[in-house]
Amino acid sequence: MKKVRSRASAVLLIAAAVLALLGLFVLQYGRDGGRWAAFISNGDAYASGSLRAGTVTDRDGEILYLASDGQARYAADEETRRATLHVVGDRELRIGTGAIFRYAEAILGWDPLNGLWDPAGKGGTLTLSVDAGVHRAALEALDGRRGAVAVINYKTGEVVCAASSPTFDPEDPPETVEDGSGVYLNRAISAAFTPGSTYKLVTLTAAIECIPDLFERDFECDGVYEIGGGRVTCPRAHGKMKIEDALASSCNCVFGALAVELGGQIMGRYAERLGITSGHFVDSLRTAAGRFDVGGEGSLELAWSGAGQYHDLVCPMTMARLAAAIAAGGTAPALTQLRGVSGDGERIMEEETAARLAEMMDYCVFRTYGDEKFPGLDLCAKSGTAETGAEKPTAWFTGFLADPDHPYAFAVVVEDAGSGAGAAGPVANAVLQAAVR
Amino acid sequence: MELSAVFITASRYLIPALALVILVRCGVSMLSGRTEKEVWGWLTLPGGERVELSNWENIVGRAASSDVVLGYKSVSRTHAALIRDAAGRWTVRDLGSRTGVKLRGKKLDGPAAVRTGDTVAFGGAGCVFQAATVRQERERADLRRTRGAGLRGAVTVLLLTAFLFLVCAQHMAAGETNAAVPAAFAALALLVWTCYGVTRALGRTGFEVETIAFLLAAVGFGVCASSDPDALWKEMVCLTAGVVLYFVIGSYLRDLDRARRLSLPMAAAGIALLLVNLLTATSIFGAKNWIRIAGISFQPSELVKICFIFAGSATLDRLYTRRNLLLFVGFAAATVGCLAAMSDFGTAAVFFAAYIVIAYMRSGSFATVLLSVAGAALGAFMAVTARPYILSRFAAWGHVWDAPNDGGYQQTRTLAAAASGGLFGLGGGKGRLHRIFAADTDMVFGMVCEELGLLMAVLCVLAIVLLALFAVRSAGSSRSTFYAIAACASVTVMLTQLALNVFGSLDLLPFTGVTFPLVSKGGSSLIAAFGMLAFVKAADARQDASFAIPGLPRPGRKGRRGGEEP
Repeated sequence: MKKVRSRASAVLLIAAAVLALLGLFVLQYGRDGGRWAAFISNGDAYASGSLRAGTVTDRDGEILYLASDGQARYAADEETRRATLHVVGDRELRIGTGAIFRYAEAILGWDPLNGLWDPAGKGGTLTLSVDAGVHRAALEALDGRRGAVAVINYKTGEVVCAASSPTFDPEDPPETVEDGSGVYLNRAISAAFTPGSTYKLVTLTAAIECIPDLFERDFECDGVYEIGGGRVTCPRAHGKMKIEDALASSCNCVFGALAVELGGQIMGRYAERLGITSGHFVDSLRTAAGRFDVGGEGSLELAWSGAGQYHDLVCPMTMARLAAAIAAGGTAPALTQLRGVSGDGERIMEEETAARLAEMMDYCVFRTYGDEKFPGLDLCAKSGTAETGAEKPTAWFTGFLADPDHPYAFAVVVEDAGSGAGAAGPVANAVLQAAVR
Repeated sequence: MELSAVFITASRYLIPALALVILVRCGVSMLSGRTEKEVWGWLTLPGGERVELSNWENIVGRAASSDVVLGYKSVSRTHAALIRDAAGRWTVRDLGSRTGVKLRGKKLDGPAAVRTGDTVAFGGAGCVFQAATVRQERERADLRRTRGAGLRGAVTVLLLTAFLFLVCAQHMAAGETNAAVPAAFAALALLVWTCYGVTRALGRTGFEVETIAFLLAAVGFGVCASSDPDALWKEMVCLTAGVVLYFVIGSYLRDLDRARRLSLPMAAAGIALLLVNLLTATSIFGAKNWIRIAGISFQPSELVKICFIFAGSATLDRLYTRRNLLLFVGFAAATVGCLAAMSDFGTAAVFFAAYIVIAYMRSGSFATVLLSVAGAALGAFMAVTARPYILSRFAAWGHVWDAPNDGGYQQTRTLAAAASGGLFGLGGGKGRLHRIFAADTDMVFGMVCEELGLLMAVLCVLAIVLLALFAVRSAGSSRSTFYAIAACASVTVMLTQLALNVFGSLDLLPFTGVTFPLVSKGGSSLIAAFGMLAFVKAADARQDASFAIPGLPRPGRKGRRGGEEP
């Protein structure tokens, strides 16, 4: 009997296993419970696609989305609804970047103690870092054209604007959507475009850090740079110049030659380091990865890629992040769409490099774009006009305000629009005016 | 409306709190306190030492694990067994010792009756046997009674009644209008008090096992009230049937000789049930383990659990015969094989776990256990090789979030609902998981979390664990290995079922679709679970605690045996 008595403790092993698994579950619950509760098929969290309860506001408390007792409403005016659609999200949850999809846990107000228990039916409140006013200005300035506007506070990493066009009114969603319109896509975060001359900032970053006598050099452009059996061309011969003027006049010949001199390996390494090819995170959301194919060493393709043509693709948010890093002394801030959240930035270039780039971008505005076009703004910028095969080029404008009270970096893309400074510049101005107001 | 909101808020905390108090009271009563051992006889060793025989079944041998240790070289490690039957008759039998047993100077060649004053020599070590007289047994019982006092079952049952009321009231406050809900809970309360009354009328004080079972059943009623209130009457009928079965099995187990004779017929019945099932069953949702009789779906494999426990349990004298173990191994293999053939892998795993525990308790041999596990692994490997699609059923295990609408359908929804409830739940009747098929059976842990909260769900798991601890503790003092093995096998079945149910739905184990004992909706499961509890009850040798253990003959009755008062 004594033998059987001790053998009975075999059952204790099973009981111990049950308790261990139970403990494991409780730990997982504490860690992942919010994510579980926010599962889109959870009837306690969603009613026909909408969150049952919770509020989303912009950085100033303007209500963008309010769900209570299973009824969800968007902002009161249609303009705000359309302008913020891609950061808030639609009722069908087709917009993957939307806050009601990505931050459902916080909006629902889940907490490990009470779960989703919410007798008041109010849910939680999510304060986004975006500014609804800036979004409205962006949408108005885009004026129905396809495009994107990304604005970042380069001190905090808060995303102030991530607007995308085309858009629609989430209270009155379209019955059918034109194929390939990308209306559910937030172009500012989830798309990448041919960067045109804005990519010269990447080439220049590599050149400053890898070519010691860059600033002493004299460059000469006669309108054509012959390389690898082909030609890189400028609209006109820029003549003799220093690197500052090569950037300000956006000389393809000079930057093509720099890319070839640096070589594919270094160019590729900088594309990676500046976040162009891999993308980066905005909270838990990864931006669209860009593209940088160098072609062979000494090739025409390498030359053109250094000038932002060939196969290059860049996500607008990534370009804004690069501008932010230049503004912030070489450190790209950790990006967030949530107000008051901050993380550790990532140094992507030397402080000295950033200072030199900032100077030159300031000079670009002074010499090429015209300060008068950006009244009251201490702007440093670079434009880009990307030939994509569409009727008109894709217009880019990126840069930042050298203004500690308004630390904004930005990137504007307008598709099928015209020249960078001519088509995207005014959009940038309108958006920045709204941002500093 | 305002009042109901206040009530729901308050009851969220009261329900787990009450459950906790009930479980703690039961746990303290079941696990605390060292009660005096029962003493059924004595053996005086050659050195003059007098050893108590505190079980009906005692091993005499040189091994330290023997009940009576004889430290002589001539004594085998496991030498002989001294066994008392229910009528108080003692027998001694040689367990294949090298040097043999001599009773009153005569070499033993089979089991022989032994009486007070007899000299029994184990390999030359002469001992004198003495059986306890009726009066000694009664004195012992009195001693044990005073030591084990302090069970206050009625208070716990009152708390349980309050628990029932609260769970029911939450559903009513949530807007439940179906009269079946209050009716079922009222009937449940009546059943609880009837059982308590019967127990007290039988002069028994232990009601913890029943309390725990009814607590779980009440949680199950709450689940059913949310998912399918019209089915509550059926649950109530099955619960009553389960309770009746519980008392029937418990009473049957009072007589050890009668119970042990049932092993073979039960094994045969189990196999027959499974064969009938295999041949006639309809496949419902994957597993082919349902029988439909007169419109009622029934899972025979649930009842086979009881057959299995009967077949697997054995008295000490049978433990040392290899043939018996082999018979049981064959029976277990057939059972598990039948279930696997029905694609009911969850239940097959439950039986296999019970088999492992029984085989280990019977043989004490790790080799047997390892061999069995290896055999099962080989069988599983061959099954998977022959039918690779079996594996695909478990393909989502560990990464259900990658396939939330496919292989991870149930698990993701269970996890989401479990998180929704927080620690205290959304309130009975306020959940939404019940809209999903099998929420009230396979995913019941999610429903309990969602409506009554994680605390209550954890308490449900702990309740079964508590039963298991009690069974292990009881096994040590139960009168026969038959009861010890049966109790341990029962709780193993419950623990394994619970683990597969709960952790399968939470994606910590593969999802197999077995029921949570007593909580999951389902008649056959409920009946079987109560039936199995009778085995736990039969191992509970605390004085006057269990109805499944016969008391001592009343004073004044004639002595049952020929032993003289010493």
